[in-house]
Amino acid sequence: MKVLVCDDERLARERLARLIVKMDDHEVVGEAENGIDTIDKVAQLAPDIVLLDIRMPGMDGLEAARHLSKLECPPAVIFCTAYDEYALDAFQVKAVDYLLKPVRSEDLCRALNQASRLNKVQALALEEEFAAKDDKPRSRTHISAKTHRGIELIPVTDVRYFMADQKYVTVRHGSGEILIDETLKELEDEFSNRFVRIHRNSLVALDYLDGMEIVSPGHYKVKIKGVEDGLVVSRRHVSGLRRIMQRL
Amino acid sequence: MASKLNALKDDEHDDFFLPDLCAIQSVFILILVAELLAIVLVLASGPLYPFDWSNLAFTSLFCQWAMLTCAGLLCLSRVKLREMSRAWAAFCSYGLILIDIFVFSVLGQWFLSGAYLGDPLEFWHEVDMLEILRNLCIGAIIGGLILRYFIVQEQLKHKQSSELNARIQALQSRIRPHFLFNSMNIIASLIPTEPDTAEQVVEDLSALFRASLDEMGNEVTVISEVSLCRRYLGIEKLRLGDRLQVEWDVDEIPAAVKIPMLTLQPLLENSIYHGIQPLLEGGIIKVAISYREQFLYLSVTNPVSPSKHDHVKGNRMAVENIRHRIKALYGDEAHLETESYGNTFTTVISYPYPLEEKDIRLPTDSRAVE
Repeated sequence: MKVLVCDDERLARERLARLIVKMDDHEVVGEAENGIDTIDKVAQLAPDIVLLDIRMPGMDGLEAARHLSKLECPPAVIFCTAYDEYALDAFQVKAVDYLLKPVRSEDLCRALNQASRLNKVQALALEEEFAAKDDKPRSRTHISAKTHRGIELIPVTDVRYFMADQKYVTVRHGSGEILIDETLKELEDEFSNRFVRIHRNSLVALDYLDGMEIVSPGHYKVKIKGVEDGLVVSRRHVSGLRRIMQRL
Repeated sequence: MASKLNALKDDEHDDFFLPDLCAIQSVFILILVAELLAIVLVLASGPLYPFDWSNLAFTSLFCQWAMLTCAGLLCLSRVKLREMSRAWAAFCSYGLILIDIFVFSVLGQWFLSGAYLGDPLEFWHEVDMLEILRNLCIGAIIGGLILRYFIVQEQLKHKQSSELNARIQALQSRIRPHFLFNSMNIIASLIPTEPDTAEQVVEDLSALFRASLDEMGNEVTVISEVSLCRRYLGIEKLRLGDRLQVEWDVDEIPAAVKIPMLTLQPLLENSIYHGIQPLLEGGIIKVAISYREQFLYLSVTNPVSPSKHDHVKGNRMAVENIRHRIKALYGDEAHLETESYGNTFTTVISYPYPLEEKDIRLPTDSRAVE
């Protein structure tokens, strides 16, 4: 099996790699330093198994797993953690494989032999479990979309707006647009501190709001930084939006 | 541990001074107390021999009635009483007891005088007010004593549970399990390739744990706290590599100036945990220590990720602990302030440490002796 080792600590990666080298059936095909790096490396190296540290800078292991689970043929994921009070419960409940650092060679071997794919439902449930126990809302740092090149990541801070259309949601970001398979309602709940609803079909990033203008009496549009055309504000969101813009 | 903490929290919720008087145990004890009280009253009012059994019977009957109905009333009104402030609740409980005793004194007389056969209006003229007043006096004293007992007991319980809580918190804040297991992982990684470094990590880790197991509030020299912190940072540096940079700005501090052990280290740990670690590119932690005009100043500044706004929350426990410790040791002039400015987070500690002239002049000498 081809294994990708992901941990932000060089020494931790080295140790896992060394343990795997000794095993006959498995080989290390690469190493990644954080969640974003992991997703890139998965696309390049197509590993069968990913050993994923949970606490990593930029994007943590849980979020990376969630993005990975969108792939047509995602690698199996085994989480590694030094100590997470709540993690252990969550893993056991969701029947997701995990290893405790320092990892024992036998445990690693067993986990690699039985590695199973983490499905989307599990990944999402795991994140929710963590958020509930951690007592703070957990929102992703990136939005991901499956494209022909694999998974494309867009930092949430780069998103200008989300626009719902029939079945998909269009994500407008700094360098273009992309379609994702999520509902506007879910996005609104997850990113309630960054985005504001202006219409039944659109959420706009507060960071990029650039004023509201009257198109015709009773009809408003918002101007968004870096986007040429404004977006229509529905009548029932006008007063709420005005209040928010005053606070900005 | 978690379940124990939860139990503690539940206890805290139940911090009302009145116990549940409807519980079987309480009822039993109340019956016993009422009976003992009846015996005391009879003994006080008459000779031991011949013992006045009929008086005891009447007194017991009255005491039991009064005690159990009081308990019942308090039990029923407990929910209401809980919502009031402590003083009000105590006042109302006391009022309830007195009213109850009054009512039963009147009823007792009514029953014993056979007035229930005659005109109730006539009875009111015959009521022995002095007798009722006597009952009320006894009730006021005994009721007051019992309430006082409940309050004191509740305070004791509260104090014990808060002490226990404080100890658990102190323990948790001193040893972050994450750090322990990550360090173990580092040692495991280093053993085959760099055994000397591994050895060093074991030594540093031991020094840290020895310090954390020491009595809390132990004061040490600033130099020794700094060297402990350097050991700690050495371990973290192995883990985080170039992502962790530390800038020291430590003035010449007189050796007589002391600092509570593990004051700086938890701050550094927080800086790393909430500041450096979540940042992809890492950052610089700045530590400054100086001694001016009889005050020791210590500050730690770390960068924070702009998107994370929750770092303040995580910091709080360690910071609160340190604040309590320095306030306890150095009085109200001791301060710990935290400040979030843009993408940096700063913690500043200052406390008075008055020194005699000679102590200030001898920093190098005393260090040489060490």
